[in-house]
Amino acid sequence: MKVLMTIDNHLAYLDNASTTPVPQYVVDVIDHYYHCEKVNVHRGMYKLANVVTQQYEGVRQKVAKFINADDKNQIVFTSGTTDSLNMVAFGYALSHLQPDDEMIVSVLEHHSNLVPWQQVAAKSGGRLRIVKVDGKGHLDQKQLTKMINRHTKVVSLAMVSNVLGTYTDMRPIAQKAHEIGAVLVVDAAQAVAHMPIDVQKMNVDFVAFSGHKMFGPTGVGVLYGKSELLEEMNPVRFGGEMIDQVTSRSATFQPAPLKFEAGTPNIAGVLGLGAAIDYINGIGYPSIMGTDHLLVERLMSELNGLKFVTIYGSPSADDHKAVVSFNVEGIHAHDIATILDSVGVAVRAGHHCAHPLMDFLRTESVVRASVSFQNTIKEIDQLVVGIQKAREIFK
Amino acid sequence: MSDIRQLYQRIIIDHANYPHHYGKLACPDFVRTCRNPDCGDTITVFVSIDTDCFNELNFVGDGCAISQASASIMTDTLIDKTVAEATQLIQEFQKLLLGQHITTGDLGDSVVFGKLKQFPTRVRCGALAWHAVSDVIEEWGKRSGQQINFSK
Ligand SMILES: Cc1ncc(COP(=O)(O)O)c(C=O)c1O
Repeated sequence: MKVLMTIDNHLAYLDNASTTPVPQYVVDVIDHYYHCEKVNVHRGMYKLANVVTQQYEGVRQKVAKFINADDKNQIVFTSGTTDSLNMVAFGYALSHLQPDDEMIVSVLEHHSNLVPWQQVAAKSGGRLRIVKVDGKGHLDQKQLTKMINRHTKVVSLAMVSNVLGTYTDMRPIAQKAHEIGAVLVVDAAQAVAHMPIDVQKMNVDFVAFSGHKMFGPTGVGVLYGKSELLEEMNPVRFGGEMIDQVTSRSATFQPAPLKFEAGTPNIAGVLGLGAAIDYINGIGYPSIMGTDHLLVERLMSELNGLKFVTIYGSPSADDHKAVVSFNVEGIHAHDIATILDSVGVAVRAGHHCAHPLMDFLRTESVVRASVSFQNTIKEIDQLVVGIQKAREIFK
Repeated sequence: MSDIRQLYQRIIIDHANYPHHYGKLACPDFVRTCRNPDCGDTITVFVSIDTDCFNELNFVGDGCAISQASASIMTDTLIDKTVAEATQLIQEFQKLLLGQHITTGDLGDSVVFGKLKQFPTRVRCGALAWHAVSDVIEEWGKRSGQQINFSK
């Protein structure tokens, strides 16, 4: 039975990589805050303010446990992955980069893990280098190993590609980056709903993800950073809540994470994020991954059986973490998406905020089907029916 | 739910698969490219205007069937029209996309895009080529000392 109430149940929603639905439980927690507890955090003297502050800080603890961070102060609440990555780019990288220093991203990055680094490169005189992927969509490890050198200060990579669905093991990359004193930033936006994230095991330096891609609300996200790095990192927003002492001419700041959370935070969002974590924990990653895999396997075997369909990235279902992108010969991705919509299937079509990857794949746009464990085999089959219908119409 | 074949009518599919007036012109008076940043569809129109008549109108482009068919059918509709007639037709076409009543029958096959209003996410695909030509007319106006502005 579907417990995700917020999307029309008649719609086969296969656009989970864009944003996932939310369960009623998450909506209830947010609703409760707005109906019964809408006070600010970290400032009121009344009891309720303290209660809500405790809940808010409780979520910080919950997030820390969720990604196995050893200290809750390593968890910064942000507005989402984009915000988290911008904080690292402008709060950390910009002040650590000298002209001639280098940063590395891959060709499959979402624009939010590319454009901030381009900006930092332009402002600092540093250089942004782009590592390729191979024919199956895996990061070219050889090229990356060659690229990492003593000038490298930042390596920033997606853990799971939002277009090809490929997963990158961060452990060996972290080791290489650390050998030459660089930091490894991980864009975990597409990973978090589909696999456990263990920051200590990966030994990475920063991790970014969004609440709305993990069954939580929009407008909230997380930046994890190692304690000493967060200490070095500068805030990029200034104002209330993040300060320690203020005179009319100067100010000192709170320690991390509060120095990064200027102004009234997205309290409802943070509480909703906490509820989303409870929800995921309740289902459990083993179960989530099992269902994801079954769905992707069905999708891949169906699509592989259609001669006129090109799948991007690996031909193997194992290499697609909940995401499969494809095109149908002679029919533009948008037309496919519109026709799928007409049979009640929601997919995304376009460049998926990854122009460099589209160029690399030599296409303008692709159709992307992305599942969550709430989808069904029937919905996958409905997508295949829609593709056949598109062929029929375009004959 | 609207029947999808209302959108993908035979004539649209045929124009998308076999576009008319496709390809660059050797010496156009005007070249204009329009792009939908969200979906990446592009249309470039090549126009020769003799005195005030659309002598030649070609296009090249990349994108969905709707954007490409709309461009192709538009070339059929606008070639040999005067700038004044084309201006009026562009305004008629804009009305058509908005689902408003239109008066002239001169839009020719372009009237098939009247169905687009049932598919709001695709309206801008149908409008793309027409945008490009309206830009050309504004430019033509500037060059010939007339002020022509389309509401966009
Ligand atoms: C891999 C990846 N990184 C970053 C983002 C940006 O996330 P947000 O829009 O929540 O900031 C996305 C969202 O599509 C993504 O898929």
